[in-house]
Amino acid sequence: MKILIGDKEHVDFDEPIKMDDNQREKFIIFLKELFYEVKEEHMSEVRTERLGEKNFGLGWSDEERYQLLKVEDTETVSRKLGRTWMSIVTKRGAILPEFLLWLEDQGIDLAEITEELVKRYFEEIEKKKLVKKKKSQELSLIKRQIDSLMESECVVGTDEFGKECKDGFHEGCFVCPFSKKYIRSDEDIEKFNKVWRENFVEKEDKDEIDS
Amino acid sequence: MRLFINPEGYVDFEAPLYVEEEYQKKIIDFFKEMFPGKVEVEHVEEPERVYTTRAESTNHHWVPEDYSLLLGGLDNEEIAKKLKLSSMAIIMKRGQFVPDFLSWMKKNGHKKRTIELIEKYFEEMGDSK
Repeated sequence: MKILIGDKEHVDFDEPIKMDDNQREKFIIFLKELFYEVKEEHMSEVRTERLGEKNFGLGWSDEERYQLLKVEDTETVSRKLGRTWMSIVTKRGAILPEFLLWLEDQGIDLAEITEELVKRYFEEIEKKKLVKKKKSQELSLIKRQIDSLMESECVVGTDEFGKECKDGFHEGCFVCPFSKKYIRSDEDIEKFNKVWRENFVEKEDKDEIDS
Repeated sequence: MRLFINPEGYVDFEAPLYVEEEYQKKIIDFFKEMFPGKVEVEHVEEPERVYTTRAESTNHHWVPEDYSLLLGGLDNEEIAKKLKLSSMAIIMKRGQFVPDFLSWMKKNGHKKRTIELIEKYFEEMGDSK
């Protein structure tokens, strides 16, 4: 079993270490004494690249973001998150403005920042995220409905839209987005046919009889 | 930090951990105690990370009023525009100064941030602007 120590103060294993349940539990307790957050994840994949082979980039969990906003100097946070001073400074610089703006909006002075306050901020952020997610889901549903309508076959003759208008007048007609045919509602067609019959067809029949 | 555990009971870090010498020693000792006689330590060279600092950032003389901007609610872009610096320069300075300054305020029981207090902070820190 090899522990790799880098010249830029990183630590790694040269390969995953086999532990029984008891050893694993002890290891996790030990890590929790050193670091703010230790999360266990069950994975079947094995990390193939090891310390020295490349620079590793890691995402940030909500818990880590929370730790970044607590009033704690950079050295302490770097040590307790197991991340470099530079990564802490860069991430903090990126997420601080929104938090500082929130404090200003709430009329809270910087000297009043407490853990509870940071928690409250995160809860609000979570709520906003949920609302945004819901809105975006609703919008995408509407978009899908429109797309499916536009991409569907011709709507002429469907119950919803009515029949094709063949009278050539097309006043009050609407155009099928797919086939570009003119459409009149069934009700309008009935009205049209009635007027047509009364004024032209029946009149023509009568004229024929008369002549 | 995420610890990966596979179905056969193998444990691994998600990625290498950044740890100071004191913690390195603790980790090595822990494993030596848990697996006596089986632990080897190997020192490796890590690839360089390239950080570029623009000339404009290094030439900028930071005054307490600039630092005061960092403590407010303006976003990084706005401050960058005001100070004629890159956003990255603001991110780096903000991420470094704000938490350390607030931590110092808290430690010393200061309640109100003022330009004078920022000056005092740098005096105590050895004026390392």
